[in-house]
Amino acid sequence: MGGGEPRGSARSLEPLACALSETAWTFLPNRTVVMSGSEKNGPRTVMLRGGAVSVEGAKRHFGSVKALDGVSIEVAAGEFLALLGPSGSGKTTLLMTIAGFEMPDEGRIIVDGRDVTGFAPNARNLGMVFQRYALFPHMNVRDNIGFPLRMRGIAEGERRKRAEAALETVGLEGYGDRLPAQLSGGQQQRVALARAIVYEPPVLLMDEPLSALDKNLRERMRLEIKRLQKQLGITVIFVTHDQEEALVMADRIAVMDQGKLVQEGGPRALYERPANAFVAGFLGETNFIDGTMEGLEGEAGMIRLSNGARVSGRAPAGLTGRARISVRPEYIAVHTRKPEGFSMEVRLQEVIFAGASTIVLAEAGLAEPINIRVASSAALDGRLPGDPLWLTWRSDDACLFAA
Amino acid sequence: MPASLQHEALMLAQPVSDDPRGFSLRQSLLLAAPAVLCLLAFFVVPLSTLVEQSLTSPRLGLQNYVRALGSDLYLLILWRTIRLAAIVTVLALLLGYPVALTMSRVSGRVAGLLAICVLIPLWTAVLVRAYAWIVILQRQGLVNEALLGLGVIREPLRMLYTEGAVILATTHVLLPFMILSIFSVLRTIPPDLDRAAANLGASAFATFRHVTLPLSLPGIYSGVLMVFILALGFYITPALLGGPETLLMATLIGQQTTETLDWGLAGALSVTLLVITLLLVGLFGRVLRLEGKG
Repeated sequence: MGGGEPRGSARSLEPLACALSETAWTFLPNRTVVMSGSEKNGPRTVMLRGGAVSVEGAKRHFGSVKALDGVSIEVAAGEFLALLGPSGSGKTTLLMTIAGFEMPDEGRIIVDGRDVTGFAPNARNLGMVFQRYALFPHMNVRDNIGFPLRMRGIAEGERRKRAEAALETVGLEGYGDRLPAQLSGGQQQRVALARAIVYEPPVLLMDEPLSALDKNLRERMRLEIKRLQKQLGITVIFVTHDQEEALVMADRIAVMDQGKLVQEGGPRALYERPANAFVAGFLGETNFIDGTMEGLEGEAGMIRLSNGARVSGRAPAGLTGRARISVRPEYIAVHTRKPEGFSMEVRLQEVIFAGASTIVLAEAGLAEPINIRVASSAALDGRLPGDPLWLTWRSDDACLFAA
Repeated sequence: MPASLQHEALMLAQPVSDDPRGFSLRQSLLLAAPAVLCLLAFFVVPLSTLVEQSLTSPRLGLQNYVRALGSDLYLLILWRTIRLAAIVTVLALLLGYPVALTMSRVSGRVAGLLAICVLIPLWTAVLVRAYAWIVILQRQGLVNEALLGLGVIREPLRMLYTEGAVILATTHVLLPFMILSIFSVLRTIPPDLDRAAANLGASAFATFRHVTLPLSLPGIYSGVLMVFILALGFYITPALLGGPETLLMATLIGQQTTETLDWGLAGALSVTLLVITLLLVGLFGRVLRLEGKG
């Protein structure tokens, strides 16, 4: 439907399913999966081409609320982009605009080189996984997965084959006859995924698809979806409000707030070099401490905190006056003796064992205690609340923002 | 199954609800008692009397049933009643479904307005609505006046006291039941399903045919069943708007009890109508169960 591409058995997912199980296979730059191994007729190729998506100056308002306030973003073919933001930040509206369920007031949506701005959702040929999966409750798993193929006029026999192959891809062989209500949440999630990729769309949109799963399953599905995305070479745009999910899964993260794109970049870049306090606070944990700028030398800034301590961090050019420093808990080193150079003297408040790491809360005469994460608290054994400690961090690991 | 019986016995012995604020079984029965007693006094007893009279008045035997089912006229009226009820049901379904669908899709003020449009006729007495139709359809009624005035017709049309008038007015009265039955099911279908279907390549029509319609079947069944059964026994509207050639079962039974005072025949006709209704309900239940399994 409007896809404009010939579809045939050559694009079947069946060989892919084999590929995902055991057979050796490699990626070529044009994202052709070349298979070798048990195929009788020699290597077969499956064209799996992820499509690029670009959003140009999208604006959308509901009444006086600006859901999208001039958003532009480019997603490369085969890239995994996470749209991250709090609720009401516009990330879902952006996804729905790409899917065609919302029309932008201004701006263009280009998918795979085609301007689809005015296209109806059913003419866009995009895959989508909904938050609550949106499986058709009256159809069994096979018919659910076969539905998009049926809408594309593919015959029953071929539909069955491709649905079964898609089920294998998501690890649910033999579940074709079940009704969605007979499946667990994780299984429904997989069926939704199979249904979204069975017609091999160039782009897969996912609207918080893991939010309905319990924690363990959610963490497993993260890696599984990520692996599948790499194997299929499909472009994924993934909406989430869970920063950890975005960090784990995405090649690139776009942080949104109040209808605007605040910052985009790789997970590490965003985590280590947040562009502003919002990104620093939203992506991962951090300590915010207010103070006054004392000096700026290149990228390194010095700030005097309200408790009199002078500490340093990376600062944007020209930062003066009231400022705020952000230091992540795991970037802070704890010393039991005063180290050489700059350090901040604090008093131990509490040591909290949290499994893989330990949280140390330190009283520094500030509005809130400083939150520190250490791999092991062995060095603090025998220290009592109120004992003095000295904190240091690399200037490069802290960020200064205008307050 | 002794195990399940035992289980049921246990269930009966314990309060039905685990909620400490909930009612025990005894309390529930007590609360249900007034309604049950009313049903017994005003429904089961008269119904038994009716059946008894059909078999004993004026003397013991099946002669009333022989008269009821042996008469071509009565069979014709029975057939006409079923036919009209079927036509009304189909019309109500065709007219009601789009309304129910719209109601389930809109929100806010429009939804409220639609609900009021559906409910106000339901709250208006059937008699009032029948007289309203008389005003509209009679020889010097609104429709004839308008058509004459526009020069579409030269002679007033005979619309009142025809089968058409009965069908029109009965459909009008029963339409809300159809709409509300279907709406109650349609509103439970998650809107995401429509979006998913569209995203997967389905046109609006394909979405309706493959997703919305099959999922709304339970509402269609209950609406069809309710409208059909109500139409089978409809009395006031056909009596006021119909003529001699549109005499229906309910009107016929009414004549036997108020004019000819032939209670035996009235009982036999009533029991016949009741049995046919029950048969149809049973048939529907079967279809529903099969549908549920398929």
